[in-house]
Amino acid sequence: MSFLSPAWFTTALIGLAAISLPIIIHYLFRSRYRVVPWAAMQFLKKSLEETTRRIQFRELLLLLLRIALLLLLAFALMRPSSKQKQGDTNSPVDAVFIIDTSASMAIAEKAGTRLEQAKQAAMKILDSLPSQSTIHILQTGQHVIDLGPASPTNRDQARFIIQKLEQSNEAVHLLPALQQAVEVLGRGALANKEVYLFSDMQRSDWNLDSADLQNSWATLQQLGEVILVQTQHEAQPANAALVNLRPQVALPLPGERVPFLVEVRNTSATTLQGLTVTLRGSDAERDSDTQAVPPLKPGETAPLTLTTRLDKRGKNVVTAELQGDQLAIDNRLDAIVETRDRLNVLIIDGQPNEADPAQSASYFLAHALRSSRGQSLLESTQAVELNVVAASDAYPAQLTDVQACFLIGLGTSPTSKLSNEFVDRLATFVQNGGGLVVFAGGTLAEMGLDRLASSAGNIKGTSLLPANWGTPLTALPSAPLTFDINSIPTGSFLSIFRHPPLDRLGQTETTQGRALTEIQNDTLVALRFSNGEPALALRTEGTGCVIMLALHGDMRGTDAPLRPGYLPWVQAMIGQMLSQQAGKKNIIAGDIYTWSPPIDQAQQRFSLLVPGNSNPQLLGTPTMYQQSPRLSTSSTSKAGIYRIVPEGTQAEETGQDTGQVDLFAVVPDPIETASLATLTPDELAERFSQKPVQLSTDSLANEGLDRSRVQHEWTPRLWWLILVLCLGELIFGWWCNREV
Amino acid sequence: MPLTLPADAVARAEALGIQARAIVEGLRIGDHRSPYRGFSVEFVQHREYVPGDDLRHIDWKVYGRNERYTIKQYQQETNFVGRLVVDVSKSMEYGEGQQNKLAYAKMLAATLSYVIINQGDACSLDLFDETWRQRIPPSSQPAQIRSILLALEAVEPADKTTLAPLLHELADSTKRRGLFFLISDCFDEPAALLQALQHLRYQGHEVTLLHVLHPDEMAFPFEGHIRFDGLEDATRYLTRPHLLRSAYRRAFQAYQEELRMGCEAQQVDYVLADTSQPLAGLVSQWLSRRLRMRRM
Repeated sequence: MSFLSPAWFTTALIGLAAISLPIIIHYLFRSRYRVVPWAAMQFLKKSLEETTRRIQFRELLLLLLRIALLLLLAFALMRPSSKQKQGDTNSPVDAVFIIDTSASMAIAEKAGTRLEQAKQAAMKILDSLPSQSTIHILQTGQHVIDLGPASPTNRDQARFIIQKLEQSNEAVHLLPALQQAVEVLGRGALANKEVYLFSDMQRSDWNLDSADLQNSWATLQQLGEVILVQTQHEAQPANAALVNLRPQVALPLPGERVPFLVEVRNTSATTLQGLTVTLRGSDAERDSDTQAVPPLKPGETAPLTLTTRLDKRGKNVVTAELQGDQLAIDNRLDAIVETRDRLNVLIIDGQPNEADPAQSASYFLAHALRSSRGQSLLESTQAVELNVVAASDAYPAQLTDVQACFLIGLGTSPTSKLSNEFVDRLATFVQNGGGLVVFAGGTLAEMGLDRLASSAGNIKGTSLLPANWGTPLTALPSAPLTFDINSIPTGSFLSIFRHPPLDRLGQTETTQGRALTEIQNDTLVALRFSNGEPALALRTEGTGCVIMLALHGDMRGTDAPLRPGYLPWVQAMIGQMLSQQAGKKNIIAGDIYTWSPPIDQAQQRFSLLVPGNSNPQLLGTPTMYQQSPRLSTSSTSKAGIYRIVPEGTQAEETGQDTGQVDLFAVVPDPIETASLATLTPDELAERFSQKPVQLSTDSLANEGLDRSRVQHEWTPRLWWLILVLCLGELIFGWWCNREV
Repeated sequence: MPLTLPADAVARAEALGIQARAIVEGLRIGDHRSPYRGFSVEFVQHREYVPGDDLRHIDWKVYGRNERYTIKQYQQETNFVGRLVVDVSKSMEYGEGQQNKLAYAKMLAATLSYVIINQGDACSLDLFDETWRQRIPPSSQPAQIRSILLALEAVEPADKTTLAPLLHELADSTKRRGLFFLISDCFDEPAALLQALQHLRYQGHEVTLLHVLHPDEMAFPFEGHIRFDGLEDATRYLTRPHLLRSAYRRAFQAYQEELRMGCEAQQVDYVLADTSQPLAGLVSQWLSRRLRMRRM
């Protein structure tokens, strides 16, 4: 405990001296009396004998109460604090402001949006800091951005930074912000340190990395004072979010109308009605499609199919917009969809049979890929260049100009093993954006793919494969394994199979295969068997991806090729591989975008055009990586279409696609609005071993900052206690003054 | 300079008069019943003649009817001796002006003495505190009034009250039954006082206790810090009287109730003489009540 009053020692001495006051007053009053000659002394004596002890006891209590009151008064004037402070109350502090600018901070409350409330509160606190304090502002979202100010004691700069803070579409990851705050405080030279976190304290934000979060908080609390500033929030808004926008065909043809799967999820606690979704393609007026969303129960996701035309060959911008809910920040999804007019597919067959092609492992897969009719490229035989090669005949050059490669029936015989040269080329193929699908067969070594699982040829030095093959998978024909459709993650490339009629994929029966084990951390298990075992694992590597399936590609131990959902399933896999190649053109807010410009533009300086901001952001020249130029940016906090344009060109001003422009789409982080529930102050306090100071923007706006709370000063509570004791003294004094 | 009698009180007392409710023994024929049968105007009974009786009292009409000598007897009317016993101790000094207890007691005694003598009865005065301060023997002479008034005027409070032994002494020394008027604040042990009153009653006296009290002594209306100095001793109490008002009143009312009940049991007429009440009012109320009771 410490005392914040500069003259606390003198006050303490005065307080001790003041104890004698009630006693002096008591005797002073006793010395001022009137004399009355009295006859009936025996009755007076009797009444005195009867009452004196009670009166004296009451007076003693009253005296003690008054002494306690004076002591408390002196104590309050000393301004006690439960925390050990350096210097007095006006000592400067190193202050760090962590301001949450995530999507949920866009929710409009009576007092303005949550971000506006946070900014106002930050201003109030900024004004209340002691002079010579330093200020550091950290913006937190997916990443933490150290905003400065450049001169930590310059409050005008700090005010300007706070005023300029903008809403992002990111989810919050508090941990990096806290770690940054620890670092900033560690650099601070002042003895007193304070960390302010301005946030709506969304429950989902605090569940992430909770153990690490607590450790970071504990470190911060050791370094200085932690103050949580929670924005005012009323009832949760009736919110629905667009969570998925994906073409339902693997390869959309340019100039054709393409069906898109749009998923809408109710993230609020009430049933939503009257929602509509509009999809816009190349020509917003002509190609838009609007559809009403059926009533959505809380947590329910509705799949909608909307169509639009994609005119351009190459990258097309498609936008889905949701109308009718109360929170706009997650009502728009943009996507870059690439159209192609040709697709090269290579199938490596480990069990070729020229005499009876139906016995080949690739028979059903090749037929699925060749089956035609319809609007999509996959269904056009002219557009698909299919090359089926026996495993023993495979050589690296066959992968040239190939977009997708299927490995089927490998590892079942000595001749069904791939050569090392081919596998090495396969690694490069994947790293350069190729798609690889591996059906179950033998072990990795038997397939010759063990080189992919090692560091050989891998830029990261780790396995390119999402998993390893385990033991053979067997099930009795009477109790075959089926697919668990509910295991498909929402928003994944297989999410279309969660809904009728394609959900019949779940009826596929499998009795043989090979288990997927040693699933890597960055692998997506997009489908599982009914017993929970992984059935399909996907791992991305740059713009390429590798899919491993736990079932055979032919009819051995599975009836998948005969199922109606087989063709869409194969299409979905190809679509995923191709979108991955286009892909990484569609990222989530806060993700890092990497682009490889043409080699002839390696020396070109580029700028980034951020949606809603007319000022280009300088990206500089690309860096060379493995002899290819690369440009990366993490300034992707806002959802929308971003453009990377050469600096100093007309495109920089207009943003028009002149052929030198790269486009990418950023969508809001769906995690942020998946649950809008916020933590109550009590729940928040429970997450800390040492209870932090909790303020609300509401109280800050009305009353300003009471620094006594920040400094753990007891004085306000002492004044209340003194007030209560004064009232008690008055009542008790009145009661003592009554007849006994 | 003798004490000046209060005109209104005397006028009311004279109009009502003081009548002996019990039988009193007088020295001469008066207005009050005497225990002695005589030959006065009021016939009481016949009795048989015994030698020695005065032949003048033989009822010859009875002899004419039944040839027996019968003596005719009459109730002898007599005057009474009213004994005023007045407390002049220091405790009677309390009160200001007309509410002073001693002054009130003096005026009360003077009024009674005047009325008694004026109606032809004898009156005596005994002033006491710890001992007899002054004693004026009974007399029905008009000059007795002056003597009493002078004595009352002259006396000053000096000592504490010791009432019971003096009353016992008085009861023993007074042979003739008469009327006792005890005027005092009775700040003594109630049990001893009641015993002394019982003694007087046993001797056949009619006793009236005129309990002189100041309203402060009953209500105890003091506020603030007050030091109470005892009038009869050196005791001092510094206190805040409002805190113990209830306790004081309880103690005082208990004492007063004991005294009143004790008097009722002894057939002693208890009269509360509140010094805030005008003397004329007190006298007229008391004597009116006394008159009503005599007729019952």
